[in-house]
Amino acid sequence: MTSTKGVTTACVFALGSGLGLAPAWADGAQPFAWVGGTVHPLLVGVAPIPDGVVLVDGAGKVACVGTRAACPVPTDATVRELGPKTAVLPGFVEGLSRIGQIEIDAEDNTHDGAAQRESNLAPVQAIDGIGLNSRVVDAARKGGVTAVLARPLGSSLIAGQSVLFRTCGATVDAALLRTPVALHVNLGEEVRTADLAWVGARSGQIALLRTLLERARRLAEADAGKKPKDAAGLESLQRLRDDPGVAALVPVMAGKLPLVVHAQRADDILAVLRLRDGLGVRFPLAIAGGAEAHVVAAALAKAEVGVIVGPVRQRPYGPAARRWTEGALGDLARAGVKLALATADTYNARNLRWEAGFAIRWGALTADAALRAITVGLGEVIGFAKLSTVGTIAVGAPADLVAIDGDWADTSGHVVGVACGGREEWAPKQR
Amino acid sequence: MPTISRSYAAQIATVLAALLVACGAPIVSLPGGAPPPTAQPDAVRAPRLHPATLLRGATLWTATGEVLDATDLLLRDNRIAAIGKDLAAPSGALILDVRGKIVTPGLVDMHSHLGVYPMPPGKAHADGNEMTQPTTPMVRAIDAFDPEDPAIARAVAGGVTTALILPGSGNVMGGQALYVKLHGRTVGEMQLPGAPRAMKWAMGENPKRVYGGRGTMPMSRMGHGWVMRKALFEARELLAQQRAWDDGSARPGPRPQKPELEPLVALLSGQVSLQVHCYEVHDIETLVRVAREFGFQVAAIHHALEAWKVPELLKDNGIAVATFADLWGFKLEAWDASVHAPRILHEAGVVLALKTDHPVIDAHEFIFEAAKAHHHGLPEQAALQAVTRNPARAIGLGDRLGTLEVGKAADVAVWPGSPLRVGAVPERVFVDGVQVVGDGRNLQAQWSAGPGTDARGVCCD
Repeated sequence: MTSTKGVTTACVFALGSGLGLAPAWADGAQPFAWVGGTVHPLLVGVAPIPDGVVLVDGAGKVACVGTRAACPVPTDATVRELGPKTAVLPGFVEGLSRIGQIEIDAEDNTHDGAAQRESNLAPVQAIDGIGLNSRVVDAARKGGVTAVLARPLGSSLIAGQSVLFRTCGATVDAALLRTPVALHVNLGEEVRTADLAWVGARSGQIALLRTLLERARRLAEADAGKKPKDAAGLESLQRLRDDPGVAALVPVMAGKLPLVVHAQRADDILAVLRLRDGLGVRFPLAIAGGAEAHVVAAALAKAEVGVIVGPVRQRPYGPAARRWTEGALGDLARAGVKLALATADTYNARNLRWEAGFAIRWGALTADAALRAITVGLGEVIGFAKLSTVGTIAVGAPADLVAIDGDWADTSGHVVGVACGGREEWAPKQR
Repeated sequence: MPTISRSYAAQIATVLAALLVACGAPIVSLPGGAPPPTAQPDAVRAPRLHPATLLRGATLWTATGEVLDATDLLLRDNRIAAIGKDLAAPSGALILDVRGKIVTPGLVDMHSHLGVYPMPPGKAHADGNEMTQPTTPMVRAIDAFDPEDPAIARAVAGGVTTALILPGSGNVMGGQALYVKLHGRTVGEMQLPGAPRAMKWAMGENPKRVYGGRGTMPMSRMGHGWVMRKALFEARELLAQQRAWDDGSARPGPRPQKPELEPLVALLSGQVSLQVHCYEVHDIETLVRVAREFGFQVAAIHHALEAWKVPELLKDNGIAVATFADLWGFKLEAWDASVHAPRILHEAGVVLALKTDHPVIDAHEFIFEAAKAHHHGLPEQAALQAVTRNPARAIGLGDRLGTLEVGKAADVAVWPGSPLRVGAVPERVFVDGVQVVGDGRNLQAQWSAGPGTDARGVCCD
């Protein structure tokens, strides 16, 4: 089904991953072309291209996406001739894992750890804890997951700021796609912090969040030109500005940094929507988790709040998930809620495409919608899709691709090729 | 454990962590000297609407390695009565046209905590680990098993018809397992009549984490080895005294009895199927060393994520492997797992089983383990055998169920297409010849949901 010519770097990757090390990424990328599969660029107005071509240049950037006629392949490129049943897709994007932050769960010395002594850790940046020298990172990439969103771990009310990075590269700087991506808030019975016992209650969590965001709003308004009435007002503002926990929230209230609230229950989600309404600033907002999001699908759609759904396969037993059904995703999609699917796993985030497969199998999402939900979906839900090509195959952007021989959403399909940051990894082998 | 999932999901994660971090031992029979609890005869637990069921024209994946196209399967009472073309329907038989469907044996999950960690997770439901002393061979899963666990109905909806319910792995010797069929209202109705005895032990990280964390033995693998051997020395001594008493050579008083040691005496007498949580190569070696020292057989090692490195050691010692398709990494003993392990073990001739460790893997999704193993190179029919015939063999039920053969239990799943695909669920499931799932109904859900609820759904609100 596939033929190759030219030199591949597969042996380099295989060696690196076999030792549990990050792949030894070559400095220069080899131009390559994937020819003959059905290409799904996932760009607005661009349909899938049968018998298509993705050409990647020596700088690792997508040079051409189109038909064979539209994309002639230069002679120095490695050519992979794909069968018509091979799908060429953007690399998948996982939004709820701990990839890069945790290596061996039960061994604390392999964690970034969980900063959770205080309720408000808004200044904490997940990028500072990411490590790319990781077998977990390698496993995800070999499964076609080329980008990961990571937020600071822990059970603080305000967890901190997330980072989006590739699953390739020697360091987080080499892998970096965006930071900060969003400010993350935890809501629910798991929130436990040492400084304020009452944050153990949902009502307390919402109250503290409101207080902090109101303070940040004052700073944001001042930044926008609203002057304090007197010296006391100035001094009060300065006190707020000197509080790093409040200062880090200003971009949220200024509409520049999206807020992602991790919540499961329908009532918790509504509490978040009420909170934003009450603040009077329609800042970018998304829900993550969302086991009961379908119960409030209409409210989410009206508020233009999307959901990162994960895990996709809920277990309909406990108080937060008892109302979950296999049709929940369908309810959200029909209501017009933007969706991203996530494994909420770490080690098996490599199986993200099969979570989309479950959604398709249940009849909850169309294949197109499910594919969007594991690629461009995260950017659409959080809002960075307007600023980034992540989750698409766009000319001029570094190539993040996956080729799957057969049904991309099923176990019958196999990952035959991955490109991450423009580097091709043909025939990737899971450990 | 820090975790990304929250609230209810986090509760599940906590339970999973507890299980992954400490996994234990099965029970199946009786405690010291007492007669085994009597399982209810099948006729009592199964409301049988038809004396027989004829499944017409399906493709049979028999789990013997054969695939039979367009073949009839006749279930009569609780057995498979006939397999062939154009079978005659007995009087009163339910006849189902299942042409184009795939029929497999019901799935056999040889490592499950259904009923001992019932859903939803919570303190009140944590009944699978008696972590008050490191050796508790005398405790029994049957005393904890909750037949109203709603996960049971979802498990059977996923095609699971038989499960070995194991204590967890917090203890070196966790206790005795329970064999259940996933159909019935009570423990007595679900317990498999005439089942063997099985016991669960655990090697490796979990017991030393549990007890070492308290500053008590075992804190290390060395201590673990001694804890095992100390209990076995005592059992061996008791067995010698009992044998001397039985043959009349030494009767200083009444026949020696120690209820807490009886299960180990039974093990040393070859009467117990020993199922051991055991991941790493050096732990496998320790287990084999101790088994040789005391002369008992290990039936299977569970999880066993490094078994792929030493298939010959397992094959030579007649030890089956019950593993995950692709779970890995969560602790050091799970770090060197390989997705190729099922294929490697199969090719080496080891009896290879997959299992859920429910709720670690949701029992409802057991078949997905087989699908993933197949994806990573385990041949199709071998993947089916890994969730049917092989686990049945590894827990001592190979002569009764696990394949589609005349005389075997009428445990059958009817799939609309290949079961080895993402999201595959059976349309119908028969347990002992009774259609528990089918025609939009789930009998087990009806029972566990209680009066006034709609029996059609597994979940309702």
